[in-house]
Amino acid sequence: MFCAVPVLLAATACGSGVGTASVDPKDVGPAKGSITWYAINFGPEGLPQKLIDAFEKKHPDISVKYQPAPNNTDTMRATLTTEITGGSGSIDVFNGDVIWPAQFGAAHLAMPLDEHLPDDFWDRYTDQRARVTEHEGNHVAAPLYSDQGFMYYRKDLLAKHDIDVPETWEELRDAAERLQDGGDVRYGYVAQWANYEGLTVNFTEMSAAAGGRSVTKGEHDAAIDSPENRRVLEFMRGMITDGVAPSANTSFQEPQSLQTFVEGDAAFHRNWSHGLAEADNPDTSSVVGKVGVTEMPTFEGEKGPGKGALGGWNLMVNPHSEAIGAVLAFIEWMTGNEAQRILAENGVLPTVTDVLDDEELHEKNPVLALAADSELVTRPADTPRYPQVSNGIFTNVNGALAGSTTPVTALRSASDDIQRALEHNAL
Amino acid sequence: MSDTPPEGVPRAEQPSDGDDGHTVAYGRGKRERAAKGRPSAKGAATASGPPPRKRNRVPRFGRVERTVLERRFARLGWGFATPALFVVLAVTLFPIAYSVAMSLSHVEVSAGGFHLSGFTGEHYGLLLRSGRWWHALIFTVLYTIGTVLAELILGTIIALVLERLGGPGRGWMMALLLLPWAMITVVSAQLWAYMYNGVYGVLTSVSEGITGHPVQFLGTRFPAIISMAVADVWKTTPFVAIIVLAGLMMLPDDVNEAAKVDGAGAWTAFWKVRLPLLRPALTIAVLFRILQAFGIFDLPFVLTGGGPGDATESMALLGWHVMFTNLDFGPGAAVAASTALLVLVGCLLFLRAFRARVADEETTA
Repeated sequence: MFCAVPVLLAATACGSGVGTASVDPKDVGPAKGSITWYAINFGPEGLPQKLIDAFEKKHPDISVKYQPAPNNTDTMRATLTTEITGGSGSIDVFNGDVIWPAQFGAAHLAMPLDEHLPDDFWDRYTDQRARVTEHEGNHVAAPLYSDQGFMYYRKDLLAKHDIDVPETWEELRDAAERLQDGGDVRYGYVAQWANYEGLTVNFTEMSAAAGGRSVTKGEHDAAIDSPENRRVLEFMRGMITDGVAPSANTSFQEPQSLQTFVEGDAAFHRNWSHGLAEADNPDTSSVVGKVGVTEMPTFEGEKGPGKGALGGWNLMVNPHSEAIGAVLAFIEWMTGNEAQRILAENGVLPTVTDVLDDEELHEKNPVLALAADSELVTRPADTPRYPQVSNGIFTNVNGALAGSTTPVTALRSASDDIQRALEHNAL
Repeated sequence: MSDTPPEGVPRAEQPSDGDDGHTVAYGRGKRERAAKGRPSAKGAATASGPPPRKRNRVPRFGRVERTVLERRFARLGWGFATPALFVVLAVTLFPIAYSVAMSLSHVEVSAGGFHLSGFTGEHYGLLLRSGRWWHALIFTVLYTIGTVLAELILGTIIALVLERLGGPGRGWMMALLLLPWAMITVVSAQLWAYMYNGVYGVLTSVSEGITGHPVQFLGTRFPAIISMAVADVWKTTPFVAIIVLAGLMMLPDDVNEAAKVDGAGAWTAFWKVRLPLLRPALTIAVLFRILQAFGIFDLPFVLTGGGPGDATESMALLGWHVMFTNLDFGPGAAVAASTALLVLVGCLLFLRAFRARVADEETTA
């Protein structure tokens, strides 16, 4: 076997891949031709095609083909990785998760955009939104649509018991217990505490509310083993032991927590921006018109309100695309006011500040109004090691929530895992 | 093969037309081995017809006394097999060799594809230092042993029942039993996920009815492992049952009758006579199951995602995570290669142990 290795090495060195690493501005090519856009379906049925139709009307020389991606972020990443590292240019532009830029930039799976887009392109976004698309000082993605965590609550039940909308986690827990004791609802709080990326999101939100973080600024050291995070994790575990959150919460991802909430079995529910529309959908929900939405709570003694986690998807460019000119026109239009308004009118949060702050749109969409003046917390994703960092967070936190370890041990072990990941010394 | 001689006309060795580099290599190896086994090859080659006297033939592959004609046919066979061998080389050996190469070198991912450079044991070092890999290894080994044992016992029992059943009833029962096996794992795993669902799952509410509080099947470590094993056993026991049943049908009735005539009870007859005779079928079943169970991916991927914590993270799932979530191709390939190596060693050990026992019995018999 060993003697075969050098032969294989030689074969792969010259045999794999076509095309060049990046494209010089002058090689961009004309803004015409046909391009393929690979994305997980978002918004109401047919929204991507609706956007394409509007784009093609403005750019008759460009035709865009929408290719739906598997509805699972990790599966989509795996598909993109095999396609792009294999040198395929069949996908020209794709939607990428907000946590991908550093990793995709480091692995050359996304084309750096700064040499192609004017500097003032980024003025359309908030600083935070533009910054999370950078890898080593170069933007490798353009924010397409936004998302963030919100707290959904049963306004009918709060009104019935004359309880104010809680602003802190402690108030939320007490309110939930009162509603449970009153027999109005089975569970107090449901969220995404399963063993996956969503738990990192949930933990990051609660940690930020308590003034904690998982990685130091600059992303060089683990900071998760702190008194603030101990408070958070003990509080989360307490919600389960007190019966406020079902013990099944530790195996809930978005669909399970949403189902529990829209069946009318939970008083409070953390989810992304589509939570309200889902709760008001008479086909699947039994709590239509009974749900309110507010910002994430903070912790007692901390400045409020809490911050939702920054989510959403960016547009990224396949370095092997042979129609970069057309792709750049597509990005310019999709992040322009016309497309972003279409998003907002269809219940998807826009990333462009002009549209996000449009008061006319706020009147029709309370979630958008809420998003416009809320602050967001980012996951520590500005390192290519982020998947391992996140794994260190969610496996240990999940273990503590399920009661396999204590919060103290879990945070210490999470800290070790994160540190090893940041030092390139972890699987 | 235009120069094929008329049948029965022996000719001296010569390379056939269809040979290219690879078949020559194969053919040469064959020839040398054949020549080694038979020093008087030249003499036999010139003789016509079958060899004058039959010596004690050793019935082992490659050592058989062969006429020139037989040798020619063998060569022709290799010639015809060449295209298929190429396909095998391309679709099995190359990817395996490539991933081994990847696991042993620095992998640079760039827009131009993978670049492997240098030789390093660093990826394997990372595995050995990683608690996650050790955990996945221990989990996978124990899970394989546990599920395969359970499936073997249950499958054998089911096969015995089916054998006794006979008639059209057996056909129906077999069809029914094969349903879980026929179902795609991703689908059956999703169905189990619904049943195990912590709030609305059927099994959760059944457990609440019995014990008074709902059991969280997937929420904590050991229940999650057991729940996953149950789903696996449910799905693959029919496979074992079918293979064992086929083995049972092949057994001659007279041994069983002879045992009964000799006064053996049903239990003794099964344990001492039929089970040893069933061993080849059991070996096949166990080998297939070890290979599958050791590489299990789809069930934990859908059912638990490897959780809670890393409780149900199998080697294959770990490899996938490292490769496609972390985009660490070198270490990912090392996980894959280590998995393949371990399962290979495991199967060889199993086969060797099994062969040794058969040989023991043959010599003592």
